[in-house]
Amino acid sequence: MSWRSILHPFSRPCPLCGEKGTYKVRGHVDYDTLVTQLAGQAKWLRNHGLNERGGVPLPPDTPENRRFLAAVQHPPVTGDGDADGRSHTRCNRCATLLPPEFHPNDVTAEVAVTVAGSVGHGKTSWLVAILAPPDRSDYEIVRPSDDLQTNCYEYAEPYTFDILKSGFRSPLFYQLLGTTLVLRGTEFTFIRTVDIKGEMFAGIATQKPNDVIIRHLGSSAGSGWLLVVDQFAGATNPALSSATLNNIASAYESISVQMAREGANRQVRKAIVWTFLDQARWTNEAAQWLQKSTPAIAAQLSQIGETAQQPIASLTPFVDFVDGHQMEVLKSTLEKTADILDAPTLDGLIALLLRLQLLYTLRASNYIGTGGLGTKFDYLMDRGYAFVDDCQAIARQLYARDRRSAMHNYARREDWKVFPCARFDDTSVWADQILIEAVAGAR
Amino acid sequence: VPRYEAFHLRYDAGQRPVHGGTAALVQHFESFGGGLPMDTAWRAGGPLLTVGLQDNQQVLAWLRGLPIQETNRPNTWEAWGVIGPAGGFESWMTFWDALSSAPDPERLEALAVAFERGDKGPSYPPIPQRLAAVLGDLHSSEAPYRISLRTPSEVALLPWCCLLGPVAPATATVGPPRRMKLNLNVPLAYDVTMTDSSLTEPARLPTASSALLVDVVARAQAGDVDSAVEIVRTLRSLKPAERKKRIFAPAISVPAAPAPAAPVAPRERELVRVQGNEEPRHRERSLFRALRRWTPLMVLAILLLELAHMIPKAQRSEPVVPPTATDTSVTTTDATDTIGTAGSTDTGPTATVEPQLSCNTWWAYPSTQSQVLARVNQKSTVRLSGAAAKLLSGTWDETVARSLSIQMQINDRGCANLPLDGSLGPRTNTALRQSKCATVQRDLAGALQWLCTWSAPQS
Repeated sequence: MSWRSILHPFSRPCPLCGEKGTYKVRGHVDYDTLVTQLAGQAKWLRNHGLNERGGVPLPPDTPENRRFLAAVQHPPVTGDGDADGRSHTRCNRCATLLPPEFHPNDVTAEVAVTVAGSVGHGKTSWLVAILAPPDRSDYEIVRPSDDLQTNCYEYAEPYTFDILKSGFRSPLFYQLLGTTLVLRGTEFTFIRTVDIKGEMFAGIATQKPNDVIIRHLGSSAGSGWLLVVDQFAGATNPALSSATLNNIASAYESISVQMAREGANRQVRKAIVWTFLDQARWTNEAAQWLQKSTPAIAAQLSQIGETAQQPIASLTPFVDFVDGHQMEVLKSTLEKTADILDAPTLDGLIALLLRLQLLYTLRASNYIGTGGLGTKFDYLMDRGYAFVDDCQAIARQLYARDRRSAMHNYARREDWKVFPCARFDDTSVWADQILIEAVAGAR
Repeated sequence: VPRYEAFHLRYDAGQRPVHGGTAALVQHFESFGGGLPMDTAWRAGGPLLTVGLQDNQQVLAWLRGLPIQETNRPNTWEAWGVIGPAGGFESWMTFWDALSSAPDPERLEALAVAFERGDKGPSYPPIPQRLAAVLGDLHSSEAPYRISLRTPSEVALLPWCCLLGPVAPATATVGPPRRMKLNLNVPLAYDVTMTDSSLTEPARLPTASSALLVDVVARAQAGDVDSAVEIVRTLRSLKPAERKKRIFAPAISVPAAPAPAAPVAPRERELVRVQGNEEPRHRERSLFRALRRWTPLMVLAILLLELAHMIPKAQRSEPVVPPTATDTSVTTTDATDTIGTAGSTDTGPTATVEPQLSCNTWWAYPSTQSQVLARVNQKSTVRLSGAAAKLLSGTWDETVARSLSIQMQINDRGCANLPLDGSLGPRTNTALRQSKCATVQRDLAGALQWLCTWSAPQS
């Protein structure tokens, strides 16, 4: 036990350097001052994967970012900034800004999330979609809802959420993000997230991120998630290295084993965030497979599949399908049969899966409970959870059967979940599954 | 001692080395690659000369932001160049073509070998139009030095500023053009920014530059880079304030002739060559035009004086043209008069000319004209107002010759240091020694104006 641990027995270590001591800064400074101060912090630069003789990289040069940067009011690194009544916490050793969710507190539950992925798979976009208060939550599972609020710490040093929303490649090894989930105004769940640069697992970094992940997940009594973001294999994005994803999965496996051995946290779970499902197209091969494998519901599913790429309103005639518990048929068929599905069939079924997710959202947004008009959250708590669960199970089956998927071998294992999501009408579809899991874990 | 090694880094599903380079070098470049311009006009990028991964290293690279169309991701970049020992890229400007061309492993390796051997490159970059003005800004300011580029083609300013700027090339560092300010732990000697307004505005003509730096640039343009570097080297040894004083003349109220667009001929450049305090170039050019006019006029004046001796004094005192309302009064007493201001402390008697002398009207008085001509002929003493009078208080012909050749130098205290060989007399010499550079310069300008405009009616 180090002397720092003795000095700070109840503190949580900084995930980047392991230091438990922290210091407070107050007020705010402008962005220029912030990066000047950060450039003088050699340990901050080193722990974020930057050269000490360089500086802090800037976000993309766009008019929007220039406007954001001009307006940024960021917690200072040293000293006090202009008074705004707020105080912020930084690591004693590496000066990393620690969101409030990274400190022990009297909350209902804590969830530690580690997100990694190959380059360009939509990792940061997904994170921003779930952690920030949603601007457009039309296609989410539980939001918007008065019952469930997300209060995001607006800084992901050296950027802010506003800047991160523009979606760009961040050169930093790690970014710490925090969000507080408030359930019915009384139950608080802290979600603390470490966003790990994809290249870290591709041999670019000289130091593996395993220690950071273990510090992050192991220091909590709550649940922990090891998430890998992978995109639909048929997506039109540039071909990306599957080796990187396998490296991540392999690292996660060894981390899970190590943590289980040490008894640090028994609730570490692993999941693949399956993105870009909107790139899948409905196919006749999928319709034929449904006719052969699930004749009872094949006609209806085919009709739903044929609405692919159409506006969500085209799904209105099928809303009752969600409450009919017919998804179990498809789920159990996929689980029981060992059919080898060819690429066109898989693509069609994946396109169908996305339509079913949208159908659920349509159904949830029109939910009328016993007490009158309800929210999506009410519907989830009432009858919706089973459908969501079925969708995730189907997604896991499809992902595991798709040999184009980089991690299909891992998805076959019971301890891996698959969270299907996509972008549709420029809105995230079901990016908020981790929030449901967080609420479920808290309950 | 670190060796020279070529590298090429590029985004390809992650920023990674394509040829040479290491993961650590990639991370080093992330500090510079973030926030680079991606728009069409500026996507060619620019040179980056900065510290290396260790104290004894330096990195020379060409760095550019990659457009989203190429990589499907914002904030990606490409860099190629050579990493080598600190101070080992002093002649990097001569490899401009090789550095700025699209990366090629063989050429990069050849570049590394050339640096290893200490070779010089085949050619310097083209000299941008504003170089003299930008150098003037740099030399007259203090670190950190900022270079503002108006058009992408002005990126060639960077190597020239490294070569001729206030920081020695061996230690100079420079960054590629960018809009957003870069904050570095080890700052660049020359920070480069872009001005977007230039994309829609026509390129402006150079602003009034230091004649010294105009001369430096002219030498570089003529291929005599070594002598240009030599002149700049002496400037670098000065403190910023002294350097500014050395390269820039104070504001001069003399009406200037329009700056000629054509380059200065070598002979003329040689004539205006100065090593210290100077006036703007266009003013010097007007002086030389006056000089060209002056020589025949002097001959003519001598002839006229010969004639004037033959005319009775009474006849010469009659004005040909009466003074106008704006004319200043001129009082003449005798042929040995001095010309001075009414408030002058000089004790020279008899002739008085208002400070705002209008040569045309003044010349209209034959008596005054004849007095001056007589003085020129007789090499008598002429006295002007204030310090200018002191400056020109030598004999007339010597003063003219001295003024028009402008062999002035500035000593380390910023004072005018005329060749004090006794020709100006002890009193003038003392005045010059004690006067500040600015004062002398202003007075000289006033005197020269008087001389130039004096000849105007003749032409």
